[in-house]
Amino acid sequence: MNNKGMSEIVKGIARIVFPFILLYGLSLILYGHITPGGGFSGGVVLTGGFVLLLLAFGKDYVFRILPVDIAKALDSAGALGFLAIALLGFLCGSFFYNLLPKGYIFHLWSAGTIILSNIMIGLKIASGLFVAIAVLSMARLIHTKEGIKYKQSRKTEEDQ
Amino acid sequence: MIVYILVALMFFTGLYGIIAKKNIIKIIVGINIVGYASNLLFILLGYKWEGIAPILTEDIPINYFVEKAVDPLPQALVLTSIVIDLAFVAFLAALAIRLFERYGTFDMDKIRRLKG
Amino acid sequence: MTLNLPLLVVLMLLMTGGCVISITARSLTSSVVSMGTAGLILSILFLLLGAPDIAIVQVFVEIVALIVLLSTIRRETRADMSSSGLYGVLTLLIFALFLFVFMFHGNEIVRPFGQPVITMGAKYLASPALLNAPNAVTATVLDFRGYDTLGEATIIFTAIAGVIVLLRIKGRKDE
Repeated sequence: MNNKGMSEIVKGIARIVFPFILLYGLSLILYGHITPGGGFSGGVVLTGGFVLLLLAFGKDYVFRILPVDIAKALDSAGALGFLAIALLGFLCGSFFYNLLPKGYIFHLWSAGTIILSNIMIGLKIASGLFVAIAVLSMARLIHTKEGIKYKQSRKTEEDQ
Repeated sequence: MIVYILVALMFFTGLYGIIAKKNIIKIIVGINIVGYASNLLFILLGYKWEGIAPILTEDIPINYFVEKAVDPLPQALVLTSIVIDLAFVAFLAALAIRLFERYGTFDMDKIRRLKG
Repeated sequence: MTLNLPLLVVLMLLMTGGCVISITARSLTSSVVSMGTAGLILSILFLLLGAPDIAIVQVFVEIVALIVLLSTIRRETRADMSSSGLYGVLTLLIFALFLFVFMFHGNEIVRPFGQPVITMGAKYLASPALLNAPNAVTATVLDFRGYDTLGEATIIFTAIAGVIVLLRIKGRKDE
């Protein structure tokens, strides 16, 4: 287990940098309506952090932090949450109506439903892209007697 | 005008990669380049000379902001289009992995010659 | 940082060079990497053209896409030895004709660079006063044009479901 992934230097730097990438992504999502950023940028940054862990530590370590099944559930939850915020607008008349109080400009809790939508979109993008890359990384081609075969790498490790 | 000609050159480069190249990875790269060119065209069409980013800061008066800021609509469209491109690249990579598993090559000519 | 036309043209020429190399290179690795350089120059262009949101997204998307494509290339297929032949020459000729026509008649299609007519955007630029959201791009994406974003979320969801379905193990008939 210890010799998986890259060298010790890469692992150490990834361990130091990963919390800061998460923090940057979360701040991009939360302050998306005040400064440059938003759900799309923050979600992609969070995915980038998990891809760094995937490259540095190997698959098993990352799947212990964020299992693929939970990421799939978060993906669906983000999409449904965004739809729910859109449907909430019907309480005041129309789809995507911004019904929450607008607050004061340049404050964090302002602009009504935009901040909630940002959080939902960020959740959806981050977990969805993580699922896609995790599934791609699990696909491994191995050489057998019949030719090239495809196998999920976790199963091959258990077989060995 | 020269800006738009360069964008058209980029677009045709990517389209040439899609049409004339036989390697699947090259086709994916071509699709990506077509995406770059169209995203850049959108942003160039919305740019205003000496324009500022459409994000208000506390030291800019609102009248100056409305007069000077570039068009936010193309930026909103491109923002989502870029992320869709990434998901699409992941999808195409999955397709390429499946084809490689089945035929052992990325070359479309060889795949066509082999019997599926 | 101010933008002037020579700087813009130089950056776009570099980007076009990256695109041309990535299409013509024999080695697949160098092809993918030069596509990555083109994408990073594109993010600088976005920053100069007044779109910092998109510049952030482009940098990170480019890096993740590069990782995905590089991990797809296998050891057995590092090089692209196929030739396009007559078909490729014909395609090039047709594209050159298109470009030639666009060069002389493009002025009638597009407005001169830097002088757009902002019609809908002017309404969206009022979002700081209307919604108390200083970032007009986020306000456009999530409030004024929520329908578009919902559709795009659906497309991403479908693409990811496609990846999962293509690479599944259980329930495949041929195994």
